[in-house]
Formats: sequence, structure tokens, C-alpha cells
Amino acid sequence: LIFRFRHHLTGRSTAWAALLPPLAYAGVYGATAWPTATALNSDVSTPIRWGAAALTMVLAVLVATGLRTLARHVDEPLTSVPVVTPA
Amino acid sequence: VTPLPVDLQANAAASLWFLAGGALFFVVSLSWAVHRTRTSHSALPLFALAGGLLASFAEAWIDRIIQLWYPAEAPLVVFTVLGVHQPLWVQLYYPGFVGLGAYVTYLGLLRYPNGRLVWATFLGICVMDLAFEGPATFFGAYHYYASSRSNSGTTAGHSGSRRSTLPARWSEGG
Repeated sequence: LIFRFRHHLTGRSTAWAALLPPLAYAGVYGATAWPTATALNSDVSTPIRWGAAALTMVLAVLVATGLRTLARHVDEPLTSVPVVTPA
Repeated sequence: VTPLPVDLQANAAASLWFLAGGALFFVVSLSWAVHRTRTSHSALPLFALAGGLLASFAEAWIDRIIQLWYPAEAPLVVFTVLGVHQPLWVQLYYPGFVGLGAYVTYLGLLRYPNGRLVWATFLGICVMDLAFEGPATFFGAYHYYASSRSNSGTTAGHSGSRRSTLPARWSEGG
């Protein structure tokens, strides 16, 4: 997010950067840890808990993959997205 | 909701070591952020550091859902949220690890906009987390208590039960 908004984080607006770590931290944690958190707080067997933990790790890898893809295209204008128009 | 292991105690020596380590880590993090602010002519490193500190206040509800327990005997408990104690060293590690971690990742993306450092950063954070969590849990600075409970809610041998500081009464049901 800091990289994405780096052109806006100048002067007094730099202070907004202080909100990015807590927002992203909570968001990514919720997006990836929900299987583990749900399994830990449920009456489920140990194999299911391990499976949930594995799913959390897969989600973490997916997030990292998505970040890498976004980083590559972060400066591309939105007009570069192909628009399908009806015939 | 799983009951909190309110009687589970900390290893005092381990807690003090982690407090000292946290203080040192914070001083190094703050010094580096000030240095980077001066050399880059941008306050971004300091605000990232502050962002890491803000993120530390989310720790309590995360602890609650992943069943992590900082014992009441941990040194310098700053506050308690949702029944979970938050020792000072949580606030000392977070600014550098979370805040400056984000800033260092940002520097990596500036240098390599194609994202080639994302995986290196990801693995680096995994390794640092293991290097932190391993000793912390082994020496009993804090405890993950989910693994110690069977599905019926009773304990089945805690990973930290080898520590002499753990009271027997907690193993009877917390």
C-alpha cells in the first residue's frame, strides 16, 4: 500500500502512512487466518485443525502472489485494462 | 469461546530477556528510522514506525482468536484487552517488525518494481517469525494454549508444561 500510494505520501500527507500498517495488518490477518481461528475456536478434531492451518498458509502464499502481481502493474493506468464492449 | 488460561504463568527470566531484547530492538529501530528520515528527507520511516506501534493495539483480539496468552506475571503489563494481558515488549517489537518491516518492503519494491523481492521478503518474515516464536514459546515468555486442550476442553499436555512455572491447577481445566 505504501508503494501504491507513494506519490500521495508527500508533505503533510506523509502522516497517512501511519494508518497503513494497522489497516493492512488487520486486513491480511483476517483474510488469511480465518480458517485457523475458526478451527481453533471450534469443537473439531486435530486433523481438521491441521488442515485449517494448511489452508491459512495457502492463503498467505496467495496474498503474496497477488502482491507481486499488483506490484508489477501498480503504475499502469486503469485504461490499460481491456474493456469488452457489446457487439 | 475457549476459557482463558488465567492461571498460566510466565517464565520470569524469559520475560525479562524478551523485555530487554524488545527495548534494544526498539532503540535500534527508532535510530534507523531517524537516520533514514534525515537521509531521505521524508518522514515516511517515522510514520511507518508509528504505524507499527498502532498495529500493536490489534494484538489483543488476535491473541484471543489464535489462543495466545501473555501471563499476568509478564513484566510491565501495559493494559489488558478482552482479558488478554499486553506486556510492554509487545509495543517495543511491533514498531520495528511490523512498521519498519512494511517500510523495508516498500524500499525493496522501489528498487525492484517488478516485485522480485516479494518472495524473499515473505520468506524472510517467516524465518524471523520462527526465530522469535521458537525461543519465546520454548522458554515460556508466552504460551499458545490451544494445543494443550483436547476437543472436550480439557488439557492434554501443554508444550510449556516442562516449565516449572506452570501450575498444576491449570491442567485441571483452566
